[in-house]
Amino acid sequence: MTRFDHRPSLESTRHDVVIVGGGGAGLSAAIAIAEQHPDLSIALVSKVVPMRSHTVAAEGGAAGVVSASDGLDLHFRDTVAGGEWLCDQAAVDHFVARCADEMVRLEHWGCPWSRGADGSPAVRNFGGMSTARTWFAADKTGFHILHTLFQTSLRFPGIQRFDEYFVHDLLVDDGRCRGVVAIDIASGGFHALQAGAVIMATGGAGRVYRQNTNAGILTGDGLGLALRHGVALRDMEFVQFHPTTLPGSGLLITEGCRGEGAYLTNRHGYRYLQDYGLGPEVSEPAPKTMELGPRDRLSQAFWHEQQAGRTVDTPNGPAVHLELMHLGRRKIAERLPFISELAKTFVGVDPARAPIPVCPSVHYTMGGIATDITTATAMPGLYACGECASVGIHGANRLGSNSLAELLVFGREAGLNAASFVLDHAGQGEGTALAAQARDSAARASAWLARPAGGLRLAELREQMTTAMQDGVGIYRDAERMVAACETLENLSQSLDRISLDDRGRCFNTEWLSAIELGFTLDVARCIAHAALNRKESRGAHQRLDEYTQRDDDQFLRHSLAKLAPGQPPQIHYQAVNITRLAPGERRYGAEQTP
Amino acid sequence: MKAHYQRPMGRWYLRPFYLFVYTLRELTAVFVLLYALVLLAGLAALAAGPEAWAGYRQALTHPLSIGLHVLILVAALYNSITWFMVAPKAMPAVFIGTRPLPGLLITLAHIVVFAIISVVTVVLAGAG
Amino acid sequence: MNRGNRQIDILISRYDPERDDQPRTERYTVPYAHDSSVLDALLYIKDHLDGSLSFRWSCRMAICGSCGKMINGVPSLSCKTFLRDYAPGPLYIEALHHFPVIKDLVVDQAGFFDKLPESRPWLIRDQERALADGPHRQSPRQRARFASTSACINCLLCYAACPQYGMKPDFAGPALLALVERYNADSRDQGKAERMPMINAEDGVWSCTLVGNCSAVCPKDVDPAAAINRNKLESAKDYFLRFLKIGSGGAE
Ligand SMILES: Cc1cc2nc3c(=O)[nH]c(=O)nc-3n(C[C@H](O)[C@H](O)[C@H](O)COP(=O)(O)OP(=O)(O)OC[C@H]3O[C@@H](n4cnc5c(N)ncnc54)[C@H](O)[C@@H]3O)c2cc1C
Ligand code: SF4
Ligand code: FES
Repeated sequence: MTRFDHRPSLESTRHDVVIVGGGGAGLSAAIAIAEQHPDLSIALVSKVVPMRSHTVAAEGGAAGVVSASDGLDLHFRDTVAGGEWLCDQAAVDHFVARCADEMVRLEHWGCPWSRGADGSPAVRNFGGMSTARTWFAADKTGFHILHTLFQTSLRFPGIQRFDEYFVHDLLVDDGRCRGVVAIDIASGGFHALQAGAVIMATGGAGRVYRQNTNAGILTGDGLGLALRHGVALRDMEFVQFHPTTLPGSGLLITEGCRGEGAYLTNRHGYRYLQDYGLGPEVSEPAPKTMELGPRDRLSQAFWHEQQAGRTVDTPNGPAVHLELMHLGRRKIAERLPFISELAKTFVGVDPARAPIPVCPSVHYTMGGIATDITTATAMPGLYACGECASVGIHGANRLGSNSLAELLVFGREAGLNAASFVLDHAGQGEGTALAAQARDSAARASAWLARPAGGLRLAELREQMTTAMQDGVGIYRDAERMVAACETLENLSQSLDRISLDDRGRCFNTEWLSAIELGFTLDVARCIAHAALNRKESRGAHQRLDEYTQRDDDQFLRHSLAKLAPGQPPQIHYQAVNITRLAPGERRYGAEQTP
Repeated sequence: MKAHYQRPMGRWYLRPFYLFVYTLRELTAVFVLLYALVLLAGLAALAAGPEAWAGYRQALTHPLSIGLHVLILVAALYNSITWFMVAPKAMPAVFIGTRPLPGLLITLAHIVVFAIISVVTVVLAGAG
Repeated sequence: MNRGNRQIDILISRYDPERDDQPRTERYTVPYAHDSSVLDALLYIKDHLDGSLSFRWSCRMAICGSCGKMINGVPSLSCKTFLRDYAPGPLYIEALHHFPVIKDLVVDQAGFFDKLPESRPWLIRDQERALADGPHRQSPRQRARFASTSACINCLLCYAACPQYGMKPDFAGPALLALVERYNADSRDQGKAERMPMINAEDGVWSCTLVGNCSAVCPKDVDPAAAINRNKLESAKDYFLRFLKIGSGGAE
């Protein structure tokens, strides 16, 4: 019996639109096309069964203006100021105007939103938002959104699923994106999916760091694929650290806790956020104040507390306390049941009786594949939406609950625009040229299985990468450590082809997939590190300790664009920010906040 | 690609332990049936006249019969209690406000009612 | 992660279709700390001892439903099961029972996913509501009616716990029938009649003999056994109603 075959099988199918990713963004896109264009054939490709995508883990909620006291303009201002003016204001306007509709649409599809006593969907406070506008389904919002979308997608025969197919390359002909090549994970065979348009919805890249809130699948594959085909990544230096996660594992304890009124205290039991421009100390949750400040500020405050020796020691490193005890068992059971389960299971704490130890971990990739407001990338036929995309609404710091809303709004947008593109550009790509491309790509991917034994270990390289990022490009950064990180990453990327695998089989070979993923992740890491090193200012989630501690609008009120050419370090360029109506100003929270 | 491996079922009804509990529950139903037959025989005897009835009562006092009755009692108790344990799953959902009534409470309620009825029956039988 | 200084032995049932006709058992020794999960141990093995071990995982936080395995014979989520509870060991890990094994700890879940659309797990309305009409009203009490059944993460532990499914792979099974109940119990839904055939079918609720084990292993308190047995009531009612209709020569 042969252990592996050098000439792997290669199947081929044709579709109108191929969607890579079955999370909230990918499913929204698929359903939008299926509803509007029942005749189009849609391939939904995902390396995990769609409802296992990491949207499932989102806890807190999704933003959408509904209450009479709220307004679209307020949501706009919160988002733009929260992103420290690095947001595309036209995109933000487009976004805030559509959020609530998407929440209602989900409701019509059965999403079990939590309800007020009168039976209408309830909203809660969230960090950096000037009023309660975050829709939630207890503290399992992402879970319910994803399952609702997945189950609703089953209604549409036009959506053909390719579950557990791993996309490792794009098919590009004459500068236009014409499909993808994927590995059927169960068999290890290859499958070329040709298409009139491709939508990337592959999620974030939190796995670039050692301690993160992300799933194992979030290795930045979509970002890596785009880079390799010359499409730029935007604003990659802005990596969000979530202030309340479990030390060691990085598992998320939702901001919803603080929205419901939880306190953050240091080792002296003191609510330290009042010392960081977020006071006054209030006992009930107040918008943009204390624990409801934005994430970048809260994570930075933790860092200062740690430097000053006021954090608590845990076996997994320093932490502060998240106190929910005063909320009472009833409210915790009703609003935060999952947090209760997580705290009990993973740190042995009953939050109704004792504080949960928390610390910041990498959470969200603000940057991503650069797209315009229609979700189109610079490559015709290639669209991107969700966390892997940078449509420009998050700027230098994302506000919690804007991301789930983004998946729905821009997922739909991507679906409809990709469909129009296909209809406008009828006549598929030249099959034989694409077939040859697919064959070459399959052969390159197969080469991993033929490597000689005795090389480097995959896990060791991965560990060196995540350590370099954690140490060099963390909450606070300086040139020296960023340069060191960049060097390490360049070396690692040279070493990639000296890895050898233990598993040479084709059937469900997850080691093989991990190796390909590491290639993507490393490229993303290099872009983050270089973009960070090049941004000689401090803004939002990018804070420096060397001579660039201030925001510098003259030089850097610009998006970074990272591109990659083979064998070279990433090239960083800059792009103007689209400012339509809110002139750059100062971000103010707590007592000094301005609406 | 080669075939997937399908594991044989093996002796699932013995192991793990919780499946053995289930197997026993189903088996003890046989004893409940047995007791129904005993009662039926009594009814038939009663219908057949006083002599048959006396014979039937005589037979009940035989040590073998007493042994059988003890066995039936134990089995019926096991059968009832394991059924009470799954009773919360077999009845319509009961809610107090937004909270479902805990299953354990339903099981306990069944056991309590069962105990009361048993005691009352024994007392009535003694009195009669 | 804090790796810890204690050690435990883990036996893993392995199967490589390109090599084996039967599963074989391999033994690994892994370090662990108080908070190490079985998933952490599997990842340690994959990273440091044997990269060829295959298993599914993703979220690490008991919500994606990927990581179910048999742990000492009990279907469990490996990210939510801790090594400390099995000291001094050894632990025995196998692929979820009753499903065909693709490789090592990875099973073929098609038996579940292929049947999923049959249960019509989406909100069915006689008349679709327009966006402009805004959300439906639903009281917290009405929502509570399907709170537990809507918590299913499709981890399929309940199928591995169900001997009926093991003997009758066509049985719709616990999670699917719980999903039917989830939509039927939703005050916004009007599709019960469409879902009745699936409930009534031979492979529907009547294949269940109320072992109750599915509910015992469920990590999310979905209580599928209760959902199924409530539907037996529904199914019986449905049968009698139709019976009466035929008997009285009623319309339809
Ligand atoms: C723990 C946690 C909690 C969060 N809570 C909130 C919250 O309360 N509110 C909020 O607004 N945001 C929240 N976020 C952020 C938000 O959930 C994510 O940004 C969002 O879910 C991303 O969705 P997505 O559809 O872009 O990608 P994902 O849901 O991550 O899906 C990515 C998809 O791409 C597929 N894929 C990736 N690579 C490949 C490949 N090579 N081949 C094939 N398929 C591939 C995967 O299989 C998957 O289907 C949270 C994030 C985390 C991590
Ligand atoms: S019912 Fe429970 S055990 Fe079964 S798939 Fe759902 S969550 Fe898992
Ligand atoms: S890894 Fe997601 S449920 Fe265990």
